Amino acid sequence: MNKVKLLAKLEDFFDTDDKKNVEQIESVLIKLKNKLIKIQRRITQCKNEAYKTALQLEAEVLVAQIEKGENFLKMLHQSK
Amino acid sequence: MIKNSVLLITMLLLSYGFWISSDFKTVIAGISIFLFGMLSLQQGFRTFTGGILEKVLKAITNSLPKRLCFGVITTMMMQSSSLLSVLVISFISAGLLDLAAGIGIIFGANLGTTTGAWLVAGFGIKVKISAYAMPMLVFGVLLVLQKSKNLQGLGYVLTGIGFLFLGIHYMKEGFDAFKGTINLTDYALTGFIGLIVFVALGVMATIIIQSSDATMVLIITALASSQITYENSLALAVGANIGTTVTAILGSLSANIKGKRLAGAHFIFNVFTAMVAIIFMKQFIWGVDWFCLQVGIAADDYTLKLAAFHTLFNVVGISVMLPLTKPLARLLERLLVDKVGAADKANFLTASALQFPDTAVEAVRKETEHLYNNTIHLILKMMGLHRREVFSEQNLDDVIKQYQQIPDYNLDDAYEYSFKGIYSEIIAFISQARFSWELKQSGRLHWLREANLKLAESIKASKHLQKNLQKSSVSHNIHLKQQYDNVRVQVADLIRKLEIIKSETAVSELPLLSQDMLKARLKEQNQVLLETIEKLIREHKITPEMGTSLMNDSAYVYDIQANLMSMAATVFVNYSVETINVERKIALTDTELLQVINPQNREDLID
Repeated sequence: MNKVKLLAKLEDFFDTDDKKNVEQIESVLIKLKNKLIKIQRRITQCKNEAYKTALQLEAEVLVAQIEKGENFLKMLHQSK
Repeated sequence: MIKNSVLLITMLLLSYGFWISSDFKTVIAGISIFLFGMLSLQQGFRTFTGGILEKVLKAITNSLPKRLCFGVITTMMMQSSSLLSVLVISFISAGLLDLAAGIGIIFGANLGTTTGAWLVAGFGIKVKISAYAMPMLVFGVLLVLQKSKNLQGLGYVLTGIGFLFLGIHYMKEGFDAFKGTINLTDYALTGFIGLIVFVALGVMATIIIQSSDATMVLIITALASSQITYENSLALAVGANIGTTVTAILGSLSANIKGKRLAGAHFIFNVFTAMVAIIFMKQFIWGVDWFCLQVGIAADDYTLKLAAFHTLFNVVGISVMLPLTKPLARLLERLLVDKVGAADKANFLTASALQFPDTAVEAVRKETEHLYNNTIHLILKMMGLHRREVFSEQNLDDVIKQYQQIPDYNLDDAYEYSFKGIYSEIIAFISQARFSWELKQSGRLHWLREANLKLAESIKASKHLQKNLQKSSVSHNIHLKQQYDNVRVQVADLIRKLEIIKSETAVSELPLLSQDMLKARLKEQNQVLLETIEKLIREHKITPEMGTSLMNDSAYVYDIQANLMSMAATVFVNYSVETINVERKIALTDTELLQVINPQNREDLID
């Protein structure tokens, strides 16, 4: 194995934690976005005002969580 | 008193034996060194494996062959089933393993112990193993003196094996020396009486030595020195198998009913196997002869034939009992009935749960859940409500209407009776556990201790709320009464939702992030309540004094809810979910949640 390959392998080895983190954040973000889509659909169909308000709050929390997750992901990419 | 007397008599008898025979002294010293070696080996595995055994144990609960193999391999490596028995009893007591799985592992451990006989008969007797013992002891002690835990563990394993070898050597030496002075075969008994007498001797020897492995080595060395006959050695081996269950039974005394059931299963299995061996002894002897002929073991190599017999009757026992694992578990559950856990006493904090970090954490988690149940009982009673309605699907507004009057309830007495005792026991248990290990589990225990503290704080807040809540229930001011009824609905609603989260622990997707929704709702409710109070004061529907009391009480209500939520985040969330660390990073802080519920920010988010 030449030096370049060895260095690349070492770099990969030490990066495993970051890589795992990125993968996990991406999977959590996908789940959050899917949840948001479902709730938005329920909001448009909902006729009960009180229930609609509760659903809207849930959607807002999801939006904030997605935003926070995406910022975190950006930070991880930038630190590389 | 009896224990001390037995110890004194044993020591006196041994001293007399040492005085009249130096060979007897050598044999007993050999047994003692062997037992010390086993202790050292166990200590080594505890340090060396550093939780690996526990991890494997958790992963293999789903299939019977895996459980059997785990029992065989672990016992084979440690040359003792005691540590495994203690581990399995602790796991079962803490509810991390079910009884059927535990029985499978114990069956495997029984088979694993038979490998010791093969090693001693095939290698220990025929080779001068004391020559291997010396370097092992030297290197072992050198490693034990090192700072690194792993090296220390390896050191204990090496010294353990060294002492085992040395013990076997001394036992052999002692029996060889006996030959010149006394021939124990003169006391040999034949026929059925001989069989029963020697089985009983094997049981007694194992109860005294507290290890069937050591008894087996003693039997093999005595057989190798022709101090006992082959037939009598077979009976002794059967007796050793029964005697070993005493160790398991003694170990289960500090366990809860689940641990006792496993010890019961161990006892039933070993006694059954021994009965089969006694009844079909002739067939077994024939079977061993046939087997030895097939694999090329000499007809007069009695030590190896004994090892083969030991394995054969355990294999037969397992083959018969294995299909009966589940019925056996059911039978034991019926015979050893679990008493309904006392509400005012800790149910899971047993000494056996303290043996391993994972079991200690699980025991504290379950006890905290128990304390949570008591806490919500107190809170609901304080609000004049009952669990059955709150946990039903009934509309909570209707439930509140049903219980308009809030009866007197002595919260102080209830706290003393059903909270403080368990709370104190949990804190004492955690202190003991955290003192025992400096592992990552101690972090989890820290959070569990905090969760218990949150429960205590929620009761404290309930106490502050109680007086005004009771007064409001008989108030003539309809607006004030309505606000306090709202407060009751909000607290009951949270308790209902937490009950749902509690039952979904294992399946919830994004468990930690899902709690943010609930937190946001609580904050919003609190904000709405404060706005309503201001409006009611402005419109002179309630007096400013009433308003300030209501405002103070809204803070207590928020305290109750926030503390219960915080406790739920520790106790009800499944921390084995892979993404839990990421969820922790994405979960919204209090400030972020406040920004979310701020109405100005709400528009245009859902487009």
